[in-house]
Amino acid sequence: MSSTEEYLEESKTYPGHKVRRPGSQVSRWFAPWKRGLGTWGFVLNRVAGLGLVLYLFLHLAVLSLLTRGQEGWDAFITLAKSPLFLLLDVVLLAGILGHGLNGLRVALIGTGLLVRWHRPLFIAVAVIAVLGLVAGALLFFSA
Amino acid sequence: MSWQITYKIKRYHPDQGSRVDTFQVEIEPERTVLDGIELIWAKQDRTLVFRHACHHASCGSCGLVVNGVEVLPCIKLIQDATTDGGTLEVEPLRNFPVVADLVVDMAPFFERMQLIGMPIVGPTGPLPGQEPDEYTAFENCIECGLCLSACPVVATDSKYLGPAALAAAERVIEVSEGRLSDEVLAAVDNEHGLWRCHAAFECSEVCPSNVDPAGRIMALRRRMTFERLRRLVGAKG
Amino acid sequence: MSTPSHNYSAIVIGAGSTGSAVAHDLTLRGFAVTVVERGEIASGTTGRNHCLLHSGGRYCVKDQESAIECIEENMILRKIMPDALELNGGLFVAITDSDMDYKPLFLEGCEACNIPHKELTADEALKLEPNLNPEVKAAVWVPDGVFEPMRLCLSFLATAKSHGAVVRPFTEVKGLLMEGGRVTGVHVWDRIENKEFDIHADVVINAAGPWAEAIAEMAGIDVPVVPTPGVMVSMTGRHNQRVINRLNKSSDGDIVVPQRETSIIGTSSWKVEDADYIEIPEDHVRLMYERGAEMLPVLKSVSPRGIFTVARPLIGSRGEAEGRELSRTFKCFDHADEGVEGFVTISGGKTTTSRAMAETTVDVVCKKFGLEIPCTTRDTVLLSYRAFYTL
Repeated sequence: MSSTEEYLEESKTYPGHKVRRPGSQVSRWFAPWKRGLGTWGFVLNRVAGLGLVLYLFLHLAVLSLLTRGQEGWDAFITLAKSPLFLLLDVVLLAGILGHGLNGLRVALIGTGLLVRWHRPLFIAVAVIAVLGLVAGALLFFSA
Repeated sequence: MSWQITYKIKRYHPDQGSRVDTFQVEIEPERTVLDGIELIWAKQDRTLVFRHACHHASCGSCGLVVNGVEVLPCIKLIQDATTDGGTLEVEPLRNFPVVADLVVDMAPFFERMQLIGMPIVGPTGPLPGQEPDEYTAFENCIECGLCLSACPVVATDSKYLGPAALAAAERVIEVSEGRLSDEVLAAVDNEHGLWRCHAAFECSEVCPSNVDPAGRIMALRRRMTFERLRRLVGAKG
Repeated sequence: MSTPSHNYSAIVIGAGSTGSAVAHDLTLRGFAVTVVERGEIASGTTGRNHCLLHSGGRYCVKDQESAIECIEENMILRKIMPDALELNGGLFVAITDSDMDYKPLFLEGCEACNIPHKELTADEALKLEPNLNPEVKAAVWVPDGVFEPMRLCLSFLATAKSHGAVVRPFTEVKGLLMEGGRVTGVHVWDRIENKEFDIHADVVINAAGPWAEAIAEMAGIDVPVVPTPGVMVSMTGRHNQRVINRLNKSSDGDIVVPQRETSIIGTSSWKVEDADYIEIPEDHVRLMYERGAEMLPVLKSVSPRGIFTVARPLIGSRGEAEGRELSRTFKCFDHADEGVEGFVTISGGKTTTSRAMAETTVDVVCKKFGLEIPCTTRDTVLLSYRAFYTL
């Protein structure tokens, strides 16, 4: 990302005037309001992607509990069986399904395949992700 | 019958910074958002600056963000942009250097279009075997910059070549049977070129001329991907 | 090409087609040029015009002076403006018996004005333009064209910039600087920074179109400009490939110009006092649909894309002839005739003839300074409009 700060520069179009160049606006990655399905897909991948990165670090932190011996680990297993934690697992599954399936969609259209179908594909991704999520949630809570 | 419309216009002057001014306008709902802005300038506030010329979506100079979405105000009717007694929040295009009020400097856009060099006004004509609708698709580009404003990738990469220029490059290849000049190819096949697009399709959503820049970017990618695959296979075989 | 050497400077008021062409011509003849425009380039009359590159056909019967100007300039612009024109050609179509009665007059006019033309049968015309009224009786082809008005101005201005001109949009003239009966510059309001200041020059050229009268008034001079608006309706979709004119004397709604991806029906004519904001008369709009559909019935079933109006800067005395009766030719006023030196007004005309208007104007300016520098704009190919933003 070539990030730029907002700054003033001379204009060629309007001689004698300085124009205000906009800075990098990462917030635009998370603003799907009033936008099309394509942007919802774009935002979904940013949000889910960042969530998965965050999870990865949490995951490593949890694994590092192993080095602290049996007691810490047993306490963690108890925590992991709590309903709240299972709920978080469902969120994780949502992130994986959303990012993974939508990633396949983006890879397809990004290579120029099924481009005209990008909206139906997004709806298909959403439907499959929700079905997978329901199935996963049932599995988590019944086990 | 006239409607009473509230225009909330984002103002900016180099010395005074930004603010939002509110104007009440009585105007027929069949008039355009641009008519209302011109009326404000003519009758209420001569200091308001905005860009416009043709008033029929041919010159591409009046593009704005109205109620959060990029539009050409010259063909956006008041009744379609708001409801009776409604509000129009008007801002300059995003991702462009702001000069004053609603005026942005189009230079970054035209630098890119000039680099690609695809003519738009005198149509190239359909290629052999091409339907008339297909050939007019790119040549309908009016270089309004709405696509650059709407693109979330341009928002974070000011070096990104952007939808209109990439669509133009695709058309150049189509017209010239696959040949791009080295300079254009270097700009297109580049991390700030073709491969930067992240398929938000917002350019095609806001395009007032059905150019479908996103579709053209993807077509260009397919072209280049398959070209590389062919070369790879060819080199090995 | 060597630039003629002298040190005169000029200010051009207005960046419509006339001001842009004047700025271009002045730079080629060695002047240091500043263009001041109160709005954006082509935001007045030029931007909102009908986009017709006239063949002269519309004037060849009643106003042959204009018609000859048009066909000459049409042929020149084709050579010098590479990327702002659509060379579509045009048809004059006869639908009624009255149209057929007009046909011989029209053909005579074309001959007299040297307008290339070709008679077509109804079948030939329908083959070229399938959307034509099937009742069409005959047609005549002429070399009409279409331009993109803003890009036409930008091409002139880009070339002027490449020769050193400074173009200042959003710079409104508030007054003329006068020294002993001589205009020495302009007092302007920079609308971007909201500041006022003076710009000095050896000559000021008033190319403010329908606002030229207000500018001239600042020097106490009366210029007879009649702001004469017309309504144009741009339809969704392009329904004709050539300009379709009614083969009859000029009247409301008798032309459909195909431009980019639209067909534009025009136009009407009435007079206004204030050209800043013009209400669009609904009855004129309805008339455009009706009359346009007489030539291209498909226009009845498509929706409008943009409806617009703007004042033509016709020259004439107020209160006399009606808009359509006023000549469409142009006039350059050297105000030395009224005792004011250093001040020239160019008005009337049309975008098609803007280069010729500039040639005449700059001839007048050169004469004032005793300069004998020939005009070279006929053969100078202009830069792309895109260069305006990159120079």
